[in-house]
Amino acid sequence: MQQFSVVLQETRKWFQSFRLYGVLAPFELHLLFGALGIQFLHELLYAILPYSSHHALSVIFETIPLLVISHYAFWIGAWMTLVSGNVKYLPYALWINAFVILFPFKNIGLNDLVGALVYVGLGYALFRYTASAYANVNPSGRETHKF
Amino acid sequence: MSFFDKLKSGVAEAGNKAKIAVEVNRLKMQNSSKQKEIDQEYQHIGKMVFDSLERESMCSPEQLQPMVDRIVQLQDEIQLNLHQINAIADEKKCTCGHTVPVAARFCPECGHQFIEIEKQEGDV
Ligand SMILES: [Zn+2]
Repeated sequence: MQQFSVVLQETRKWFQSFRLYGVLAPFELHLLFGALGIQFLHELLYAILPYSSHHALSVIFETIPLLVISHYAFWIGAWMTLVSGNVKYLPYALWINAFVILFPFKNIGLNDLVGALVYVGLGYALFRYTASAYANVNPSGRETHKF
Repeated sequence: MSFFDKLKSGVAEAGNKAKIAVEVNRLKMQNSSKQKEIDQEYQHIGKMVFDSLERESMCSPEQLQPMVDRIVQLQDEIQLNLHQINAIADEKKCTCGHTVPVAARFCPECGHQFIEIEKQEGDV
């Protein structure tokens, strides 16, 4: 776990060499959980709205393309959260992501199941890490970006 | 209060609750791994005692002391975390084991009066 902590510190330094990181870093949690919210909304709307409205949904999620944006926002948010003091929130994001993959719990294929299991496992490993003494976790949750 | 103000404060409150829950879960996880380490140390001690009994030459207390020290240290750390959990969640634990709000003067379960804790807070 100590090595992982060192890897995260170095990754953070590398990220900080990009100016974009400084711009996006204050919004890492918004990106992360916002992206999950959009993906969940996508699954939810397709599940509850009648077939006739699917065209409008596909305009919003595929043509605009909100869904692709949210996928990238999730990954960017996840990496930035991983190297920040907010890392303690990331396990929950990964678990929510596993939930969103399986939602609405019908037509679950093997690939969905494997994907969800991987996220649950990763989330648990990360949760263990954030509880360890090596994790750089700030108790207040903010002032992440001093270094 | 307008709808959006209400929504805003609701979201802020939910975020705050989530923040507390995340921190409390993290500390609980920390405690459970500390407890696991304590159990390992116990096992270690047991193994040393067993080996020495089998060899019919008792191991000296000095040999066991490092493990005892480690266990005491871990137990202290667990207690510290429990206190921190209570502080974060704005709760305290009564001697009867019941959890009450941090501002409570009496325990609703057993009627215990909180005096020392009040004093401690006065000091800070
Ligand atoms: Zn009581």
